[in-house]
Amino acid sequence: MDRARENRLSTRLVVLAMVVIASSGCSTEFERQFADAERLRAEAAAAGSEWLDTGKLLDQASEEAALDNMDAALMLLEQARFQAEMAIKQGQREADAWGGRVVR
Amino acid sequence: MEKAAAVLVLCFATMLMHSVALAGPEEDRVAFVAFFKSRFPDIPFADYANGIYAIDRDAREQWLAIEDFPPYEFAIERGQALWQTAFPNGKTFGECFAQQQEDIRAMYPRFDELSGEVVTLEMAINNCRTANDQSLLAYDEGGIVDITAFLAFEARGKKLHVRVPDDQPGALQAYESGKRFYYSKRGQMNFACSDCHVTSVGQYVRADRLSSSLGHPTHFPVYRSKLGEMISLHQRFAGCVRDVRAKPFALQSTEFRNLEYFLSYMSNGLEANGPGARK
Amino acid sequence: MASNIKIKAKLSGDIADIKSLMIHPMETGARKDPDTGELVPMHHITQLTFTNNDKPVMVANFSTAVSKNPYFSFKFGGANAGDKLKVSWVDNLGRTDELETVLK
Repeated sequence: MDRARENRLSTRLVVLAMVVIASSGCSTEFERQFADAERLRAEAAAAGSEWLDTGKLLDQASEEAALDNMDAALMLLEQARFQAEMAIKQGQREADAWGGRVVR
Repeated sequence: MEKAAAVLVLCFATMLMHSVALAGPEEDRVAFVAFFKSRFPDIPFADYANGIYAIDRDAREQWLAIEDFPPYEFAIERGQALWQTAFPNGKTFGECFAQQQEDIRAMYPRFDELSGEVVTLEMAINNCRTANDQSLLAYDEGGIVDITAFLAFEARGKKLHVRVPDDQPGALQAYESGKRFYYSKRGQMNFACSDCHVTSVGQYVRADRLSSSLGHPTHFPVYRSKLGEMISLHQRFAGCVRDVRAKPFALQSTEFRNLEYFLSYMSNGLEANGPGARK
Repeated sequence: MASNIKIKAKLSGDIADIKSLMIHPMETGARKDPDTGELVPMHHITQLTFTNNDKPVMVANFSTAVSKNPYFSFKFGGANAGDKLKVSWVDNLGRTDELETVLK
């Protein structure tokens, strides 16, 4: 499973590079949003609260962008971003909330 | 009047001292056990080592039929062969451990002062390989799970006795870290381990009844019918984390080792009874 | 190398209670490999045979409905201590395995 994850990360970067080379008009917009969403995903990961599908959504977004399906690509990015933001908030909330569940 | 006040103060001080002495892991454990006792008054403490089979009568009967000819027997045999096979330098696994074979499993997990982290049985096995110039075994492949199956079988009947030593602050930190992980909601489903295995213990999630965390670590590794294979405790952790749609941590990661440390402490006093057979 | 079959045999009077556990992937041919997405080829036991003193006492035809690492138990009469019990299977790829034991 971890090996597969690593392969997907490198695939993600390769596909992103492909998108850049593809020199479509909205690819710079895609790059910008991708970088933003990936930053948020990494923040969630660093906090230990990353959700299961966020990385996969980013991969799928890159694949759609490489095929020049920009609408689909941007929608997937939005979903990835939403997941990452929710995961970050969840981690922050749980930092205070977990104590209340301890069996006493 | 003053005398009564003095007696009252003395009583209060004694109570305070007593509760402070119990504070920390042991207090947590006592409360944990008491919770399940109040939820299931008729289940004897020792039976919690059997996990869901202590709670679910129907599943228990099916399990006893399986135990008549356990599917993990092949793993025990393979594990024994691996354990007894010498490394190229002539040494064997047994020489890495000071304990007798049957005492090894119940020694883990333990906090290692030198490395400042929790060491699990799987890690100890790999440490032994490194010490003998051998490559590491992958934590999700047969070899290491077979060896732990063998050691678990040898240790049957030995009680879990995890320690959180007072004189090693790193140990308490690791315990608290595992405890925090256990009680924190995670994933898209927003569940904490405790939501299922404490709050909703015995309830149904689809067609399965939720087992109690009290007793969880005693019977690993387990043969899972669903997979037709043996899995380790950390593989089960990863599966659960995935089930609530959070990204799983790596097998033998700090997070999972600390979680194992906390959960094993909670199950102190229960007998090691692995390997197990589960759905 | 040890056989990948285990037998437990219990004799009460002349009834033998036989339990067996065998290792076999029992692939139906309909399952996809999670890493490659390819169908895993069909590979399952087709026939399981028990003989007592070379006389067949059970012949079982297995198909795709039997799951991985089959457990199979049955009873037969006319058994005596000292009888030679043999179990063998053949699968759809022509592979075989067998084990002999003596009834006690």
